[in-house]
Amino acid sequence: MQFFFVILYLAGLALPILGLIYLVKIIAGKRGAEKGKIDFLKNEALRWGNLGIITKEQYDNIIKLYLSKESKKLNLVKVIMFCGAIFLGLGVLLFVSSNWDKLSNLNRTIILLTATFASLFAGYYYTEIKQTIPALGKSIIFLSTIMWGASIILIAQIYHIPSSGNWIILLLWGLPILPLAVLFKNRAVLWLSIVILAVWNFMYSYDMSAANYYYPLLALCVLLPLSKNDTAAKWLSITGLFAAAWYAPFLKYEWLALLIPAGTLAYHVISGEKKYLIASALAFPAWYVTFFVHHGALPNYYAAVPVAVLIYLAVKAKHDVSFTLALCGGMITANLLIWRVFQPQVYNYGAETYFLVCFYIMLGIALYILNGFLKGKLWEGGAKVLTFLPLVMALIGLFTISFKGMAESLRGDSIARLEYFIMAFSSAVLLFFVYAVVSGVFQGNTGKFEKTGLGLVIVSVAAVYLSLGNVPLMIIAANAALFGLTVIMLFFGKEIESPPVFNFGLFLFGAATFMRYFDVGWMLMSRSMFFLLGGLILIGLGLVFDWNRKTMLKKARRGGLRDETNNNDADSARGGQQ
Amino acid sequence: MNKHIKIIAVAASWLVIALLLISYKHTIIITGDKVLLETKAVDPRDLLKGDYVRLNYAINTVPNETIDGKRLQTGKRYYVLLAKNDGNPFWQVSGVTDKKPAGGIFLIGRKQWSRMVYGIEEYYVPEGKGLDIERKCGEGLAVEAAVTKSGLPAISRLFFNNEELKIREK
Repeated sequence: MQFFFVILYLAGLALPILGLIYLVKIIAGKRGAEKGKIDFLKNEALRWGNLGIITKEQYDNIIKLYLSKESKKLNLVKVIMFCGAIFLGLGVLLFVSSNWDKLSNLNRTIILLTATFASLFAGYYYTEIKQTIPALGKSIIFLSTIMWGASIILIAQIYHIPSSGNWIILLLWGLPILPLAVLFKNRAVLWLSIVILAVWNFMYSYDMSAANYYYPLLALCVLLPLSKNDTAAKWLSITGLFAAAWYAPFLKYEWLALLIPAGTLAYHVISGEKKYLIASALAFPAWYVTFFVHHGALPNYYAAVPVAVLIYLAVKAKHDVSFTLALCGGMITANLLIWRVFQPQVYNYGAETYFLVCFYIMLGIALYILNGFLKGKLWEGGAKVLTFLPLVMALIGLFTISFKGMAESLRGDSIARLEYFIMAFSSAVLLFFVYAVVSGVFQGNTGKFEKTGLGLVIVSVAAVYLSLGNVPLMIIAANAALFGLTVIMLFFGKEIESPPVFNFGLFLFGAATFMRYFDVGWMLMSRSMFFLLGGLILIGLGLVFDWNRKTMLKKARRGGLRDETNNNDADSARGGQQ
Repeated sequence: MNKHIKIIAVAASWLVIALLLISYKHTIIITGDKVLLETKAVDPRDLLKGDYVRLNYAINTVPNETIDGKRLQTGKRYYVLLAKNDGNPFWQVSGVTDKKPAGGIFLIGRKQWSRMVYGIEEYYVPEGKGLDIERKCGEGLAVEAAVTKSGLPAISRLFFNNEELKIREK
């Protein structure tokens, strides 16, 4: 029996790796063939140019048409397949781990560590020795860092290290993978390490009831210097630092701390430099929150003034980053002010939080529709911010209420004034949506996706309100909206050829599925089945996209080129990726 | 060649960390003095490590919460002295100090509001068995902990009504 499980366990580990190797090889092979054709075309087109048949501009257009389109589509398929393979592997692993009492502690540790090192060396082999498919090597190295975390967690579990010691696990996970990121220039590993260390900071502060001074030191002296050219890594570290700052509230002279945002704002007005605007947009909400947390007192209504000024200045300066930050600051402030208005009616934190999250989902929807009305009135970056931020808000909100615990926290609560207010607000958003649809704000193919997505969310939130108290129904409604919206985002992102939308949808799909692993115990399906199914769905999605691509290619061959405007949009959206 | 050294260094550092973590806990169990502690099981679940039984020990409550007239402070580390009375199989708190005792069996504890915690408050079990154990073992549950000379504890065995509880059957 023992032997049987060891074999099954190893198979579970080998499956994703082998699947990955196989898939990437196929795709890399395809791309290689594709690349050969493009090289041929390049040479030919160059010759035409030299012969004076085509101009330089026409040459560029020809190359662009073939180059970007093909590699991008293949990439998306690869990403989905990659996730599907990992999911399948996880499913098998979970299936075995649910019977893990059949394996002794020693065997389990040895198996997991062996697999960790095997994938580490396999990844090394493909990145450094056989450099034909570096992407494959990098993915396997990333996989090994996840397995390293799993090994540490397993050991901690065997020796019953309590949850209050979880920060040790995170430290032992995040720090030892850092050299790997640096030595082999693996960005994904660097991001993982930065995120884990940021979470470590929180866990440490929470468990020790004390500020973690090592983290800022680590972030400032190690993580930020290491993420030299990596903007994403830099932002992750800055976010971590910023979050850490909230753990060190100002004590006696908290008013003096207001000089930071006020001073930087003054500097911006005088010098017009954008970095001061960013600093101010960050520091104002930070101060409100610090004040709130430390003194247990809510800011008064004047708090809305600087926020409004910041949003106005950001719009005036046409600066995307400050605009995003000012809007986020506005949301945080709005949250605190709503609390101020309704606090006397608070019955229970869980219920209030649940409804506030619903409020933000609906606010996101409202902002998204507003952006539709503003089309053409905002600068391009601002319009993008107003597209993405509400989407992210709504998705994070849906993600939050999709948890079983969230719905349970509501059980047996009487409806208070805050709830009535938020329901009324939601109804207003519904009317706004209907008005927008009637007045034709959403048009064309893109509009169809937008209408479906927004409608789905509004209907689901309404379903949540109607099934208050019935936990399973509430969870089903929230999850239907969450998964429905992520799937719509996948197709929408593909339709408008926007990698950020697509990737965010994919990320959320993965995160939501992963989270269901933790609270899905109430469902009929076992966790392993859930992951197996999730993997199959992902791979199915990949196949659909692949098939879609092929039919599109066929159409293109038969009917000539697609409309030009669409391609231009796609090219500008693609700029942010890779 | 240089690159080979890099990957081997990374792998070696991982192996060393894993082995250190294992041996750190394992040495406590093997070399520590064994003390039997009275406990109760309460609600399970951990996001990282799955199901567990939360253990509430009799020694989590320290009777006299003062040292030289000063109250114990949340977040600080203390040395909790343990002693065994005749006729009682369980070890109990016999005193608290903030200086390391010269001898005897003691635990390093951290004051958390009304409790003193030692880092042995959770026992991980196979998926789905947490509630079972909790329901069964509300009373009569005991933990045999190993304690080093420097006061570091680790759970070594679980007892129910004087019989060892074997959760992982092979």
